[in-house]
Amino acid sequence: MKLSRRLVALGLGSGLLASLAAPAMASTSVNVSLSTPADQRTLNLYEPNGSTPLTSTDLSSGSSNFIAQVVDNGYSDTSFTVQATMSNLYSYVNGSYQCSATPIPSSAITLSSPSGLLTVGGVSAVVTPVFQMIGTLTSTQLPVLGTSTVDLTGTLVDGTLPTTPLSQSTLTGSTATSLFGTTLSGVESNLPVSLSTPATGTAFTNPDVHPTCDPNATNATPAQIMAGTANPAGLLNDLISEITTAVGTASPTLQQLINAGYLTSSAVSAVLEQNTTLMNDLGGLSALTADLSTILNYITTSISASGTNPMSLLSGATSQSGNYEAAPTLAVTVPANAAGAYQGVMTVTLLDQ
Amino acid sequence: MKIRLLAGALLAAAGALVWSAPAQAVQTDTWGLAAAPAGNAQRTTLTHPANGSTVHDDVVVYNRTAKPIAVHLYVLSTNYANGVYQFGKPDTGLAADTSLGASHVELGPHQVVEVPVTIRMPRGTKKTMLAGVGGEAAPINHGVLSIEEQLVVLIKATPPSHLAPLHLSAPDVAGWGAAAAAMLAGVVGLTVRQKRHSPRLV
Repeated sequence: MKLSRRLVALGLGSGLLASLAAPAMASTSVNVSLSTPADQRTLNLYEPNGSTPLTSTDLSSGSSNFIAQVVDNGYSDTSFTVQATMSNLYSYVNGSYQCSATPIPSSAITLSSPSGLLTVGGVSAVVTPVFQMIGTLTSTQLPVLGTSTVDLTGTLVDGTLPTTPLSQSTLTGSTATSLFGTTLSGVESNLPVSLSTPATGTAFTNPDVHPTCDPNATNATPAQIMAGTANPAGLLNDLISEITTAVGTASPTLQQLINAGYLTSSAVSAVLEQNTTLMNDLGGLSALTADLSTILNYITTSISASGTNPMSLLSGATSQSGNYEAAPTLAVTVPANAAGAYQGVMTVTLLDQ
Repeated sequence: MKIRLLAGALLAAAGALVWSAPAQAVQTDTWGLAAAPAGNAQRTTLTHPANGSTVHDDVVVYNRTAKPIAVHLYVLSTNYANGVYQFGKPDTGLAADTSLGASHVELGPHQVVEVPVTIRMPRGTKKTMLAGVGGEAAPINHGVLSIEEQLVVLIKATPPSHLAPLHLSAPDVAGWGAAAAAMLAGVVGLTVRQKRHSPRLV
C-alpha cells in the first residue's frame, strides 16, 4: 500500500511526474509566504546531540538513540501521538539489496523510552476561566424588581487572564527554563496537554513496508514514542490558586474579579442580557446598564475546586506552547546467522487525535 | 502523453489556497499537513456524522521551505488500540470509501495547496470509525536505518446524533423495502397484540 505508492512517488513522481506536472500546478495554485506560523505542532527528529537532524541511525552496535521533539506553538489542547513503525532489515551488498536473503526481522528490534520525557521547555498556556455566579437579586438590591426575584446562581460567564499566556513558572512552579529529571516528572502530567512516554518497550512484531524488498507489508506494529493528552483541567488548581491570591478571597464579587482583571463588565452584561426574566423585570437594556454596578457588587462567585458552585470549568479556548523531547532507544537482537550489512526504514509518525 | 495527462489531471484536482499560515497543522521542519478549516473553525481532524452521505472535504499541504518539495499523500485504514494507531492498506472500513483528489503534490517554495478528500460516510455506525490521510516527503536514503517522517490527519465517522434522512438509491430500495415491510409487519403485530390485550369496556 504505502510502498507501492511510495515507489510511484519516488520512481515516477520525483522524476517523470514532477517535471511534467509542474506547468499544471502553476495554473492551479498560488505561492504564498508563510509569515510567522501560528497554531502549529512540529515534529523534529534529532541525533542524540539534540541538534543534528536525524536522517538515519546505525544499529551496528546493537542499539542506538535518537531524540523525538514535538514543538507546540499556541496549539489548541488537542491530544497527539508520536509513534514509529519498522521495516525488516535487508542484506545490503555493494549498493543493492539482497531481497531473497533472510532479513533481520523487524520483530528483532525493540523501541523503548525512559520513563518520562527527556526535557520540556518554553511551556506557556492560554486559558479562559469560566466563573459561576452566586446570588439572587430582589428589590432589596434593585427596587425596580418589586416582588420579583432573579436567581443568577449557576449563570456562567467567561473570564479572562490579565497575564496571558500563563508562563512556564506559573504552570510548573519552577523557574528553570528547561525542565528535566524530578522537576519534570512532577509536572508533565499536569500540563494542559499532559505528556507521557510508554512504560514498556515495544517490539516491532509486524514489519512495515520496505521500498525495495517488501512493498506489500501490512499491519505494521506501531511503537509509541510520546503522547500528549488534552488536559485543560490540569491547570485548574494553578488558576484557582493564582486568582484567589490576586483577589484575596475565595468568594469574590464580580466587581472584585473585574478589578483584578479576571473579568470584564461587558462579558457580564452580555450574559445578563440573555436572562429574559431579568431583562423583562428591569424593563430593558438601559436599566441593566444603570443597575449593572449594583449587580456586580452583589453577585459573588466561588473560586474553589469544590463546593456547590465550584470553579471547575475552563472554556475551550485553551492552547499551549512548548517543546517536549523524548529519547527513545532502538535495540536489535541480531540473529546468529546474520552477517554483513543490513538496511531498513523506520517511519516516525505524528498525528493529532 | 498518457502519463502527462494523468499527472495533469491528478494535480489539477488539488486546489489552491490564498491564506498564508495554516492553523492547527501538524508539520515537519520542511512541510505540513492540516485539515482544511470549516468556515472560521480550525480543525485537527476531518470529523463528520456517519449518516450515509458523501462528504467533500479537504486537507491542506504546505511547503515550509524556499525550495520545491514533493509530498506523497495516501489514504490509510486506521485502528486505535493501546495508545497507538495501526495503519494499513485502504481496502477496508472507512478508508475503502475515502479517496483523494491528488496523491502526489509538487509544492513550490512556501506554497500551500488544498487537496480534496471525498468520503462516503457509513450509515448507522454505533462507534466512531477511523481512517487517515497520510503524507510523506521524499525520503533521504542514506544509512543503515533510514528515517522517514510521516504526518497523518485522522478522518472520523461519528455516530449520528439523530436519524439521518433517507436518500434511497436503486441498490438501497430492496433493502429498505424489506426493512419497511418488517416494520409494517411489526406495527400490525403490535396493533393486533394491543387489541387482544385491551381492557373491554362493559
